[in-house]
Amino acid sequence: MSIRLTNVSKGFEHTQVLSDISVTIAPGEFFVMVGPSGSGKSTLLRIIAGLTSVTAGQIYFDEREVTALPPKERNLSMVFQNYALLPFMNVAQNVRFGLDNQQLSANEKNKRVDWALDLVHLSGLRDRKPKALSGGQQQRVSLARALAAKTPLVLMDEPLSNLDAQLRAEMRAEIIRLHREIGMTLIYVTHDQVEAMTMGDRILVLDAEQIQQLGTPLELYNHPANEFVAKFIGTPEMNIVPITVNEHNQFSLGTEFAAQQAVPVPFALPAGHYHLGIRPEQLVPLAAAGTAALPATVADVQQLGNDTLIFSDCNGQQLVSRIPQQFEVAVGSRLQLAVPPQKGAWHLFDAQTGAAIKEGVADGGR
Amino acid sequence: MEADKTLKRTVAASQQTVRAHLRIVRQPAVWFLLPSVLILCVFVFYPMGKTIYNSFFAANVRGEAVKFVGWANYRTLFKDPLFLKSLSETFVFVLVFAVLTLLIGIVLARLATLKLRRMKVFRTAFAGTMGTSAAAAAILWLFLFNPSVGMVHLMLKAIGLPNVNLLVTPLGAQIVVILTSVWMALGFAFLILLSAFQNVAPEYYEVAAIAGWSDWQQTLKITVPMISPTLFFLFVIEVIDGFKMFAQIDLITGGGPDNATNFLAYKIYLDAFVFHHVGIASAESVILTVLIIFVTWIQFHYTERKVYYA
Amino acid sequence: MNRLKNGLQYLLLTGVAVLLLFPLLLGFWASLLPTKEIAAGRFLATNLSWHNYEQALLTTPLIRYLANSLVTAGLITFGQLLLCTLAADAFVFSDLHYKKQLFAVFLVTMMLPFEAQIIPNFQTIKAFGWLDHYAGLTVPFFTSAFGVFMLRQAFLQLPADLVRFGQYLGLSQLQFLWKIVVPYSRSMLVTFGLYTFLTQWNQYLWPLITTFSDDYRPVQVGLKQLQSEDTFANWGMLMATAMIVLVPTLVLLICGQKFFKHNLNAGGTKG
Repeated sequence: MSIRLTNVSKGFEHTQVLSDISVTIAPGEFFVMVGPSGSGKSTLLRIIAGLTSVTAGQIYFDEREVTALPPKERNLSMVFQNYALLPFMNVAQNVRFGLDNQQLSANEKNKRVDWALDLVHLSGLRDRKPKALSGGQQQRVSLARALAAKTPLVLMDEPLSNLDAQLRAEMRAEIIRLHREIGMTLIYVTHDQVEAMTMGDRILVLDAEQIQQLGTPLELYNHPANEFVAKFIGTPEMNIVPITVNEHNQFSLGTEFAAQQAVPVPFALPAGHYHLGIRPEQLVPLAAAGTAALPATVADVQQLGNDTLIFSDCNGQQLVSRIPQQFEVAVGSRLQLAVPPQKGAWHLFDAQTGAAIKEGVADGGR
Repeated sequence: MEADKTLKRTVAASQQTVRAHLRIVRQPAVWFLLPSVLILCVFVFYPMGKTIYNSFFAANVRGEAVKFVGWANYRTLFKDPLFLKSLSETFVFVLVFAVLTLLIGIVLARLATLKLRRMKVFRTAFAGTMGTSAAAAAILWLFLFNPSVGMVHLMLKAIGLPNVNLLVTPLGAQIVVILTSVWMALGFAFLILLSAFQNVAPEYYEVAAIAGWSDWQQTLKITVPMISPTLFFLFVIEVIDGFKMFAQIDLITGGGPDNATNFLAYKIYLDAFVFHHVGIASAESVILTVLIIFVTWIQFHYTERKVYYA
Repeated sequence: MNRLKNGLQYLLLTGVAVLLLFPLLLGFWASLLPTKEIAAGRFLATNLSWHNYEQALLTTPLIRYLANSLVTAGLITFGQLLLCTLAADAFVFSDLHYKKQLFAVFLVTMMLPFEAQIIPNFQTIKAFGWLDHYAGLTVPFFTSAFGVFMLRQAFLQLPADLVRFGQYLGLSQLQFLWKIVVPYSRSMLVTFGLYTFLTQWNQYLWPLITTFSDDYRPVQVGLKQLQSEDTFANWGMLMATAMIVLVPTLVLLICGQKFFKHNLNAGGTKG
């Protein structure tokens, strides 16, 4: 089922939560909506579910307008963060709960319950009460309940947030598998950018009532539309520092041009003030001083085993570098951080608006 | 000043409560407990013992136990049709009272959780009978059912029905006493149920709404089972309150007509302070006590087990 | 469509609220009507006045009854706050032989109905010469197992480090109680005090038995007195009296709303 939102807005008494959201979701897509808390992502999901009304705009399911329809007439199912399993029903009854009001024969309902429990590997626990299950198992029951209804659209509202890290990774894979096997349209809300990156076919980044960017995980990573997305996607966060470029295609960190620290820009860039973003893995130390390097002082080193994070200070700006190996360096020592030569590693943002600057830069990406 | 600051910091720093460290301050506490123990001994344990003791004695008019009679008082009671009638009427009254209070309370709580604005006004109104004293409530209801000036009778007359005086018929008097009692109990029951309703996570209703359950199905199949522990707790409280009902009866019916509202607690009062049958009244008191202990025991026993809770 | 539904729901809510409060509303309305209008069944009369209130306060011992109730309920509230706090403090913070057993004994008294103890209690009070006196009305209620239980639960919530801090300051047990326990549990103490006052203000059976004169009769029993004395059924004045009796409880409930709500929630859901 395809879903289309046109100019959807939502306001509560004194606050605006969503402004003018338009997006189309393809049938069978694994669509992730991500954003910090308060970004309106859950509200948007609830609007799609019909649990919250819109202040303005329309919602279409397969070109049928559903804006004013109650949830039950939208033919969808939903999975909640706290599982919402009824504690006085056992596992099978909870799964069946989603079917009870459908026009199905008892036989068909039983078959559905068996099928869904089998799908989430819980057939053996069908008679348990929820409180006798682990958090991961409870969320599987909640998944089974959503799947048993066989709706063409399934909504998930931070379903993994209550689980510990290991279970979360396991359930992530599980949900991806279920989506692949069943092929329903899946809209998934999370605040966790790693979840979003690893699960979604496409990701919608929401913040401050609005869509910040919509794209595949790699599009977001490689071409963030603005500073917010640049910082939100990827760990550690992208380095974003103000730079000043002079007429000779040289730049220095800071809002004033400092000639003695000037470094050439590896491609043509009009003079002016920018915000430069460089991913930590693109900002590696040089063995020796070079022309295209920034001198920095090591402020902190974190050894992660496979990676090493170096936090350094460069002309008053804090920078992070990630080196994909173990790397020994003393706090307080001087480093030369290589400025990446390829255009694609340069993310330039408008110093005022924070929007990505496209012309002449984006093409250089590899 | 410094101590105050440290104190605040100490509080903030610790989530641990005394529960885990019961014995921290070691000091003699006898003087702290003595006044309470003394009062309980004189005004609870002694009279309870004395009541049991008296129930095995024949007493003189001044209420002094004069002759040991064994179980005779109890035997007399259980052969006395008046007592048996009182006991059965009490059971019926208590049950009807508790069930009605709960049912109406649930309906009120459901109405008060409708998703509308200005609900606070209605919640306050629904809780409005809480704290009404039994005496004042009784006067208000007496007025309502007064055969000559009561609103109920004026209405009956207005729609052309015969003007019967409910209070002189046994069933009518029982109905008035039950209505008054339920009315008085509703405020408290409503508040408890309201908070139970509000404690049910909204996701349950959302799951149900998506699955196409109607509002009433949701209330019956989600809310009521979810709040069953509260319902049970409240039911027991109302049953115990029902057994102790006194003031309304004294003011509205005086136990009549034809002993129709002479419920156990009221009968104890009549037998002891009007008819001066202290031995009999004591035996009745013991029976009342046993009934209440039994109900309380059921609560302790079942709260942990049969009634669901997550 | 939605508008209509909302409107109907409001109508329903208002209807239920009016029905529920009808006895109160009617009582208040009648208290403003002259008795002769009531007697004639003319409830829609428009000659409203506070005359009934004036009459109730000036021609009956109502003021005396109110004062008696205030003294009785006030004394009991003070007594229970004091004695229950002391006892609960001992149960929580002291080492005592057989403490658990003693607490169990306290709990047992909650099950024993007061109605079953009135005969010997009446005799005790009589023997003390406290019949028809404030002492007889109040002393038996100066403590309550329920109060001790409730305050013990509250005191158990004190952070252990705070208790250790009190120890470290070298406070005596009384100082500890007054400077740390009481301030920390203030909300529960206020709730308990309000609850006790309400319950005692509304007490009926015990004062009915033990008071014989207007000098000590509290207002609930006074209501019965006024009702039975009124041979000609002065309903207007009686309703005014009932309203006056209800005012203090309503005021207390409204003032104590936030305390009640908080502590009711805690109690109700744990059941």
